[in-house]
This record gives sequence, C-alpha cells and structure tokens, in this order.
Amino acid sequence: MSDSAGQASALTVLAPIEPGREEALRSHLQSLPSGSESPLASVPATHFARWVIVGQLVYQGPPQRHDELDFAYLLFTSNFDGPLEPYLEALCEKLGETADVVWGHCRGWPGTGDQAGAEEYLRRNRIATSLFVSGYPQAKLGEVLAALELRERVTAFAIRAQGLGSEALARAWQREFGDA
Amino acid sequence: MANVEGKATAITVLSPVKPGWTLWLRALFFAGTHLTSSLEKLQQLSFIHYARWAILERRWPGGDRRRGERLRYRYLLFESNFNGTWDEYIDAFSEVVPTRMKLIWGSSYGFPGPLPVEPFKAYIRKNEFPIEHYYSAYPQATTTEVVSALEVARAHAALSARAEGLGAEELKRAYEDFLFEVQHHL
Amino acid sequence: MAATASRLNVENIQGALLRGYRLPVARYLFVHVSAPERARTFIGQLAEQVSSAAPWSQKPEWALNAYLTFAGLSALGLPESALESFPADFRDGMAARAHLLGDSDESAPERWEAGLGGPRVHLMLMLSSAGERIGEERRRSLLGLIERTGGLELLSEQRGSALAGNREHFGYADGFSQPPVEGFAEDRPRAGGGAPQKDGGWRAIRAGEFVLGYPDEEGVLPPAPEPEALGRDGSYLVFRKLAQDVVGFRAMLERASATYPGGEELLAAKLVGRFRDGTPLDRAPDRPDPDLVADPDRHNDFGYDSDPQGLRCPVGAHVRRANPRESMPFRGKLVNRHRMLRRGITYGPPLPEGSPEDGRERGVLFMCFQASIKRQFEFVQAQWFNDGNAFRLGDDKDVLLGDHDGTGKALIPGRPPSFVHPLPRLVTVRGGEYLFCPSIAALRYLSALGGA
Repeated sequence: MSDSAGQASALTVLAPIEPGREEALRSHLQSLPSGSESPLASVPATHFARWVIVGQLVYQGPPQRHDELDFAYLLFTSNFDGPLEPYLEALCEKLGETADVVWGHCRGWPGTGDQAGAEEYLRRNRIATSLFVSGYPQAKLGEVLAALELRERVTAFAIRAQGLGSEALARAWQREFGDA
Repeated sequence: MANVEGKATAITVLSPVKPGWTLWLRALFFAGTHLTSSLEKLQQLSFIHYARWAILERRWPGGDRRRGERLRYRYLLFESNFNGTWDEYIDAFSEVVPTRMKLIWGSSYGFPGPLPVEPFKAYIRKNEFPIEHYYSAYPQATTTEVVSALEVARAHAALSARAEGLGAEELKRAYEDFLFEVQHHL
Repeated sequence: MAATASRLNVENIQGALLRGYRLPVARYLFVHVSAPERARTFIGQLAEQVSSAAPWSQKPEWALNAYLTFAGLSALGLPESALESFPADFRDGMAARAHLLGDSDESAPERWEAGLGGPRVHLMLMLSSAGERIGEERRRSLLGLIERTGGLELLSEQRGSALAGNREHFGYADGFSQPPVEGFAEDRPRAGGGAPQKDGGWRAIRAGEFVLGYPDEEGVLPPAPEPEALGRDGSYLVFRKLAQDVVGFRAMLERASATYPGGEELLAAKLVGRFRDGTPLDRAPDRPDPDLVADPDRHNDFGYDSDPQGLRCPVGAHVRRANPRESMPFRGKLVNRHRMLRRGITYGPPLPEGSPEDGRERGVLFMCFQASIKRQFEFVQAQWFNDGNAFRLGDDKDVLLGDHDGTGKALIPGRPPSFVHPLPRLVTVRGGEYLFCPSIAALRYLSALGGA
C-alpha cells in the first residue's frame, strides 16, 4: 500500500450512485465551472483532482467471464499535500454545498451537516493506492505556485537585464528582488 | 474536452485482473514503491505530474454501512495526470518502458502487449473512462515547468540571501553564475 | 507480426516520394473535378505520364506527379467503404486541423489564399522541371489535356523556383538532412542520416514510416486504406505554402545581435543550428567550415549526444527541434517515429541584403511525405515547433516557424545565456492541403472506378 510519495498523497474514493441518479449526477458534474472557479479550487493543498463515473465494467472477451456492476459508481481521485486526515476534514468543510450535491447522489451520504459522518463516509469508501509516482513529490502546492510565478519574473528580468553594466544590474536587481 | 485542463490531460483506466495474479501485482507495486531505481525510466518520461495504480478488491465499497456488491474479478485502476497528447503519452509508455507495461497490464484480461502500439492504444481507449470534472491548480504549467520553477526558486533564494552583502561587481558575477545554472529552467 | 526489410516496388511508387528531384522549377496545379467520369479518364492518362521511383538512366528534364485530397477521392467516385478506411487526419484536411497546427491569426485558414485548402480542391498536379522553358511547355501540355478531357476545372496555381546555392529566403542552405529510406537503392545511409545505432553508426529508416505496405519502425505494416490496390505503395503528402518575412527576420537578427556577444552570423546560426552555409553547430560551434559542408559524409554527422546543455547547438534551434537525433532521452527511440521526407521548393524572388520591404511574396512551398500525417507532420509541428516542453523549454516556440504573438523568447545557452525577445511572426501560412499520394497502380485503380 502506498498512498504517498515524498510529501504528496493520493486519495481514491469509490461510492455507489443511487439507482436512477447517474445521469443527473453526470449532468451536474459537467456543469461545474472549471479552472480556478472549480469547487475543488477551494480545497487547500489540492494539486489535481477529478470526478469520474464508472457506469459499467468493460468486458474483454473470452476467457474472461462477464462481470457486471449492480450500481454505477462515482470515482473521486485527488493528488494533494500532507496527511490524509486534515485533507478529509478540509474536503468536507470547504466543498460544503458541492460535496452535498455531488455525493448526495450516492448511497448513504450523510451530508456535510454531519462533518464527522461525511469524513467517515469518504474514509470508509476509500481505495488504497498500490503505487503512486510524482514528478515533484516534495513540493507543496504553495511552493509550486510561488515558484512558477518567480520563474516568470526571473525570466523577464534576465531578458531586460541583458547587457547591463554591474552598477545598473545591481540597481535593477534591488528594484525587482530587493526587500520591499 | 473534459479530460483536459490547460496543458494537463487526465486518463482513468480500469481493467479486470486475471485470477491468481493479484499477489504478483502487489509484489510489483511494492518493488516500485521501495526500489526507486525501478521507477527511474518512468520518471525520465518527465511529463507525468502524478500517476497512481490501485487494486480494487472484489467487494466494492457499499457507500452506507451495508456491504457493497461483490464482483467476479479484482480490477486494476490506473489514474494519471500528464502533459502532451494522449497518443504521445501512450506511445512513450509503449516504446520506452514496454517491459514495465507488460508487467503491470499483462495480468489484465485482453491486454495485447505494449508493442506494436496501435493495439495497445486500442486497449487503453476501450478501458478508459471519460472524466466528468477535472481540476488542476496550475493548468498552464507542465511537469517540466514545475520542476524547473522549483529549481529556479531554490537557486534564486540562495542568490538573494548572498546579494545583500555583495558589491556591484560581485553581484554581477554571482548573478551570471546563477543565470548559467538556471538557464535551462527559464 | 514483424516483417523483414523488403525491396521497394519502385516502379509503382511515385518518384517524388522517394526522390528529391532537385529540379529547380516547379508548378502546382490545383484542380476541381466536376464530372467524375471525365476525371477518371484523366487520372488514367496521368497514370501513364506520372514519374515513378524506378531508376533513372539519366536525369529527366521534367517529372509529373499527381495527388488527391479526400474530397477528390470522393469526387472520383471512390465507394464509401474505401473512403472510410482513410485516417481521420487526412479526411479532415489541413484547414480543419488549424488548432492542432497553431495556424492562427494571420495563418488562420480564414485568411488563406483562395484556391488553397478549400473543399473544392480535389487534385494537385506537380510539374517539376529543369528550367522555365521546359516547365512552361509541360504546363501548357497538361492544361491542354485538362481542357480536352473536360469535367475538370483549374482552381489555382503555385509556382516554385529554387534559389541559387540551394538557399532558402532567410539565407540558410537547406536540404542537408533527409532520412534515407530502407530498401531504396539510391539512399546510402551516411553518417548522421537516419536512425542512430547502439554502435555509433546510423541506419536507414524503415520504409513503412513513409510508404504504405512496408514494415515501419515498429516492425508492422502501417495502417493503410483499403482495398490493397489503392493503399499499397502510397503515402500521405502535406503541402503548405509558407510566406517568409525576410525584412522582419533581418531586423530581428540585427536588433538581437546588439546584445549578443558572438555577432550576427553566430546568432543566426544559433537560432537554426547551422551556420547559413550549412555548417552544423554541433560539429563546428564557432565559425562556418566550408570543407565540412562540402563533405556529405561529414556535414550531417552529428547527434548532439555530447551537448545535452545545448552550448554548441541550442536545444531550441530549428534543426534540433526538427530532428532531436540522440538528444531525446532513450537514444533516439522516440525520434524515429517522427521523421518526414521533405520535398519542398522556394517561391518568389530573393530579396537582396539591405533592401527594404518590396511587397513581393516569397517563402517556401513546403512538402513532406509520411505514412501518418498525425504522428509525423502534425506531431513535429505541434510538439516540437510550436511548443518547447518536449525539450524542457516550457512553451518556447521555434524562432522561424513558431506561431508567435510577440510574447515569446528564445534561449541561447551560454555563459552568460542570451535571450532573443520579443519574437515576431516570421512565417505565415498562406494555405495548405493534406493529400494522398497514390501508387501508379492505384491511379489506374481510381481511373477504373464506377463501372456500374
């Protein structure tokens, strides 16, 4: 079992959808705003996350025998920083209404009104990760965002500082990167 | 396309594991987790932000406190966040780490082998699930850009710490050293 | 199932696919089919005149080749089942895939020249000739045949002419690096041509990367249209008219040279990866080397493997992007599937050094052959030219071909590094087509369609 690499962690939740509510859930998920407006943007420490609906299993042909799902499932995966417990807490707290609307389509969702119950639900329906890899396992979200912004500033500085003499360079450096 | 956010692409694949192969899979993943050398080639394919494999047991979660349904097979879940086109991604896996692909997916029904690539792609496509909602906290940054940015940040912090006590000539030299060091990360 | 290298059926393969003619004059006729039966007769006659890749005892004065768009195949009456067997990239056509190619703003299909890229383009006839006079003679002859046949409409023409010294309009000598095709007797794999081998040598690229019906780099036959008579020995052709802003290029070079310690000619070399005379930077990083350029066993003999930082040839230089050789991780394995056979020619009069903008159009009529437009042309265009992530260059685009909007930069590694910024758009797409290059037998097959 390996739910983490460095300080990065993986969460996988698989929850059965209430019969007859698959389409409504799909429609709702597709209508969620994307990018920085996504409800998942409000959950701290989240690098990448997704919701997927597993409607039915795919048959591979003989010698496999048919295997069928009685329920459709909502799969949620998240790639985040740090230990699981604080994240589950943040997930239920920050997603709030969205969590209720999304997981509200699933069997047994207690509602975020019952914060502890909601966290327990996600915990109980968790799938353990067997192998987790990351291109930058040590970097927290805040570090990544700050680094990306700094890189842009450094590039712009490098371009405009080309050919400057040492005095001018020192002044320019101070202006751009010196303490406020 | 719901499985793309800026430069990040999401892929989610489920495949049925042949009975008797689970232990082998677990051993493989254990080795992958604890022997970083076996992951080297995979990490050199530097377009993966995060990827995971999980084994779904035969009894799936029940949601509420009732027991969930029991399936005939265990399932291998593969979830990845990467850059580049889907085709390029699968091409790279297939060309560069075909043995690894065979080891991981060889235990799933229907797997045609990693090479040639067309049947492999067809297999993945067949077993891929569409993403209903995909979120990235930095959609415009590729994996290599993130890694580069972290490098720049580290070197910049070191330079900034020194800069205070340096005269103009010394700063210029230190700055040029810094630039030489991070030029490929800008 | 892996197949061994086979001899190429050169009598059946169109000549332009396997051979760079090096005939200095080219005419392209874009034709619309209004009467399928007449058109099929015409195709049948073309089959007799089209040049194949069969050995030449003596270089001919002219060569004719014929290609079809998907709309053209349909217009000729190819049945639905055969039409459906063509890949999506070809069926869509270049204009519909502008978003993949970065053809936006001035390069967007909406701004393309009339007669290029539209749904009415069915055939492209290419006349290559040794001189203007013979070229004009053959053109008139072809137009006469089109007229007499009837049911065909000439939509537009393009004219290409080689510049002195095999240069292109920015001043660079071109055409050094063509992958030798395995099984084509005239291709002798020279150092640096083709795929790098473990022992340091080079081998030809498997024919199936360019010609349908032969095993490719994976050892299998590439997907090909059906029936076999139609697909075998065929290929896909990308035709793209690229206008070059020569004044803009010279101005950018001059401006950037002000802060580049190496001087203008070295900077020009750093952007492309070769000095303008063709000297490869990887082998000669400081100055042009005419002896090196003149030696075909040396002028392409490099792989970047000892220069991962790009201190000799920048990682983002044009020729390094077009063919990363051994600098991609995994020793070129990922590169062999993204090669193309380039067969283009320049167009427009040269602009003398120092001249102001003269309002004349000039550039290159770019052409390349490959077995898969998506995996080869489109991939290189989108991932290697219009983006830099594959080379850890973020979204830095190729200086020459990139779809620039003025915000991009180019890095020239060094101590200290140099940056060229801003990068103006230097090349504009005026129009283009995705075409099928049928074999001679396939042309006959097409001419015999519609018996019922």
